[in-house]
Amino acid sequence: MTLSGGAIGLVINPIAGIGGAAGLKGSDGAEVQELARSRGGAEHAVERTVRALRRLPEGTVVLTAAGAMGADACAAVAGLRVEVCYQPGSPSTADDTASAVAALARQGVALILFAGGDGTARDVLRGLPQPPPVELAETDPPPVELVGTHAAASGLDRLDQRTAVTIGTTGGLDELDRRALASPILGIPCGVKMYSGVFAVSPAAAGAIAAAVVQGGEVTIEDRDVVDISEQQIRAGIVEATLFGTAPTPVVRGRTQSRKAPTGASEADAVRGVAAGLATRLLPGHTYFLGPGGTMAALASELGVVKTPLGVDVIRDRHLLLADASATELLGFTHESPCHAVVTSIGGQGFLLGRGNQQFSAAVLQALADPPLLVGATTGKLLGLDGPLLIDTGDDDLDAALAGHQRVTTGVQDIALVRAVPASAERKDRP
Amino acid sequence: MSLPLAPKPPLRRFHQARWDEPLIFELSAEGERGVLVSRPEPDVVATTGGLDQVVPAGLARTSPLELPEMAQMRVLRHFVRLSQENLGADFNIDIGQGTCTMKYSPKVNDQLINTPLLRDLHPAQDPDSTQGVLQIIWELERMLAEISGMSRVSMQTSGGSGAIWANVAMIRAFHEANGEDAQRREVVTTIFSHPSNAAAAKTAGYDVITLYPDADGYPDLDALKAAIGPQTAALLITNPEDTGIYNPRIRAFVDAVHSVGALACYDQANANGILGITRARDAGFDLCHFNLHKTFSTPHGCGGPGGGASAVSEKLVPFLPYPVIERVDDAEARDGVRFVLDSDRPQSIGKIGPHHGTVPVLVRAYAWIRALGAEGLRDVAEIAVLNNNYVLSKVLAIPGASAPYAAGKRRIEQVRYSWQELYEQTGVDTFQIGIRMADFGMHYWSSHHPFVVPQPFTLEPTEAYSQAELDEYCDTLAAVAQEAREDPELVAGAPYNTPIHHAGHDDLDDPARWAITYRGYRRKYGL
Repeated sequence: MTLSGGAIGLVINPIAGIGGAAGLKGSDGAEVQELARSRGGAEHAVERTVRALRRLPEGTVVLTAAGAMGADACAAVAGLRVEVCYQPGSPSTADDTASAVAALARQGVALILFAGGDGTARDVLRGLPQPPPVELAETDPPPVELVGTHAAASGLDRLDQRTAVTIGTTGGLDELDRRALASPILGIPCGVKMYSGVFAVSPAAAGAIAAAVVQGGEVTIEDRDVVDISEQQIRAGIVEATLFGTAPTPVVRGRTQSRKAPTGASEADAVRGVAAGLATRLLPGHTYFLGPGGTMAALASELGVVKTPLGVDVIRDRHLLLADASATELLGFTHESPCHAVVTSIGGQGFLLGRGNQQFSAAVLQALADPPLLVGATTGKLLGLDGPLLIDTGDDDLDAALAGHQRVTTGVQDIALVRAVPASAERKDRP
Repeated sequence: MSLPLAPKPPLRRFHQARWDEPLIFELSAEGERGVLVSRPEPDVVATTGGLDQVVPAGLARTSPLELPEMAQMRVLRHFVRLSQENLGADFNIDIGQGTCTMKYSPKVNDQLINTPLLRDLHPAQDPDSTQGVLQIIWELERMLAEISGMSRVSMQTSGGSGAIWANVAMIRAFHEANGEDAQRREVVTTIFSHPSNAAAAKTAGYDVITLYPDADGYPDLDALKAAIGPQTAALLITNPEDTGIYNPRIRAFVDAVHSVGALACYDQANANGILGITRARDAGFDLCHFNLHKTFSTPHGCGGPGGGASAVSEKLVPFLPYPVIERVDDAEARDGVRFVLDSDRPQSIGKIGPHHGTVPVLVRAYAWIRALGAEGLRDVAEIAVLNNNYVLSKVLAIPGASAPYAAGKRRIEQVRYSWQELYEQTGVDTFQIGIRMADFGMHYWSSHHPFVVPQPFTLEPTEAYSQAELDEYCDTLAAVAQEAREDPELVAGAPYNTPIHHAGHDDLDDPARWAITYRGYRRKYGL
């Protein structure tokens, strides 16, 4: 699907990034914001947004929220036609971000520009409209349970329902249809944490993409991860990435954060290639535990089975044996036949194990046959990593045993050799 | 009295011709002819009968040939106009197409290949009547063997990818002959080696294991050791890779590969920075290949047809494509020697190209090497390396440009640079900068995919350009970067001085829309 023409929506989180310069690893929560100000932190989201807006052509219609959440930045740029369609409270809150996004989406804008970081991206995701209920034909596979107990235990129960529905019902809703349900979003990078794939690489790049949309240029959109990390844990030296869902994001070569393959279309094709490559490596009679993530969903599709969006599904000989399995249930399968975990790296940080797939407990991993892990990821995803692949099973000895040069299937007959290390060895180098 | 001279503009003032030229089929005028052929004489027709008496019915066309009908002058104008809309190697400072070695190809070599003695030969002639050209090819083989250190060289393929394919086919044949083909199903390469290495290996049925670089720009030896084993058929590697960084551990790489019984194959498509300095065989490689249309005179790619040379060590000679040209003693022959085609080679991978390869390319390479001699070849490499490092210093002085990996170290013959910093500051990307360069009459290229280096551009100055030309290219790059800071929309809106504003290539990037073959096109669109 491509975007072409229309008005731009704009939502600014005015205090985004305030904690960065103050060394606070983020800006979530009034207490932290107050501390940031006391340490000399300053708001810069409005100023960065102005840099993006300057790239818009004269006469561009911008729908936005009042005051610091949008209108102030628009007033600093000549030639825009600004309409305020949301009044935030004072001071504005995260709920204002979600509500403003909902208001913009109702107006049918071509693109929602938001200024902030990962926390803001989550709020934007919350505000995007949800699709209507999906009606499945009788011949379609049964809908899977949307969010399971394991997801709740790992904090994934906060996942936006829109994403869960759309990923989980491949038989009922066409991919293009579901993308059309929500306005695409694009982040102007202003936060401290920006691990999500929905950000442009710079304010100027965000403005250039928005300009391309306004001018009717063809801009490909693809679903990008919205991930966030607990700031409290980062401050304690622990990196905990959680996938909160995906959102349609315009992708212009080199202008959207992530050094991926040249276009969204070819990136989607690359994911299908990874799935096809992984499918050739599955042995008859062996049991495979498919972890969460879009790449695993593509593998399931390649195998002709329906994938639980964020759960671990058990597959043997192209048949789904159990959806959304718990660690205990996975362990049970290891007594029946040789079992292997099939995983991809989560977000931009390269976690193979220990983030979003805690069903792969140490006991399960120790019971797997050789090789215990089949890993699949696009070349673009690997090139976007800041460091090696990370393993965090909660068992240091097991982490060390699983570490080393990991074979990663990147396509049919295509394997990349990438170093995997225990996450504990990397934490000291992480933000 | 002297006329006042206008000051030289800081940048070249350039504007390309724009003709809005239709397709030649759209120019067709019914009945118009380039050459008017007289009607057959009645007596001839009376003797032979009509054409239907001469041409068998099964070979006769059932419909007229659909060719444009045009006078010669109009044909000439059409193609000259199209040629003026090109940005060709003969009139731009063509260092922007790094990896392609866009050097000067001496025009005297074109004269050589256009002599009737060569031009009018037919490849299927009796070898006794083509001894001269067979001698040239045989002697060129000996030269390339000396340059590479290998034993024999086949020049049957028409390009680099063909030569890589020939090498992969020989690797497979070697393992088959040793009864190990079923076991050795993997080929190892690197992300910065030319993608044709991985493609050829996959086409031959191998799984491809790709190694990624460390901070120094080449893969860690431990990574290679983790990748190889009894399942490994070969290592296919370039050195220096597209970054221009030379892997100093290459001998250790080759030794590691040999220790598991695999072969080591060196992609020397671009050998311009190492001619006469290093040799593939001396580093232990079992095979290598050259692109004769890059390093050895003939222009690359669309500049003309190519030529690939596959060079092998002694143990792989039996697997060379056939026929090979052999020189045999013959007292009755001129000079006492004769050149014969040997097709009786039971272990050969077979014919891999028509006849003897792209003979004009081979003759240009022969003439180029003969003109330079051994010392001249080394001069080429040394000047190319010096020019490259001069350009490196100029580019690194441009704010926003960088050369990722191996910070502070010299490069060999090319560098893959990055505009990432400039892009983050301005939103202007490498493609836009490249298009803006065309406004000044200069070609510019980014990188092979995938983009390992963000916002990449690749420059390769070769030995062919003067300091003034290198300065002009770098000054233009710096000026465009400055434009990106001061007026990004100006750069984003380029080009302004070229015949085509923006070619839509979204279709080519979308696998759902493109088809690279007519059969694929019909399949994709249900035709």
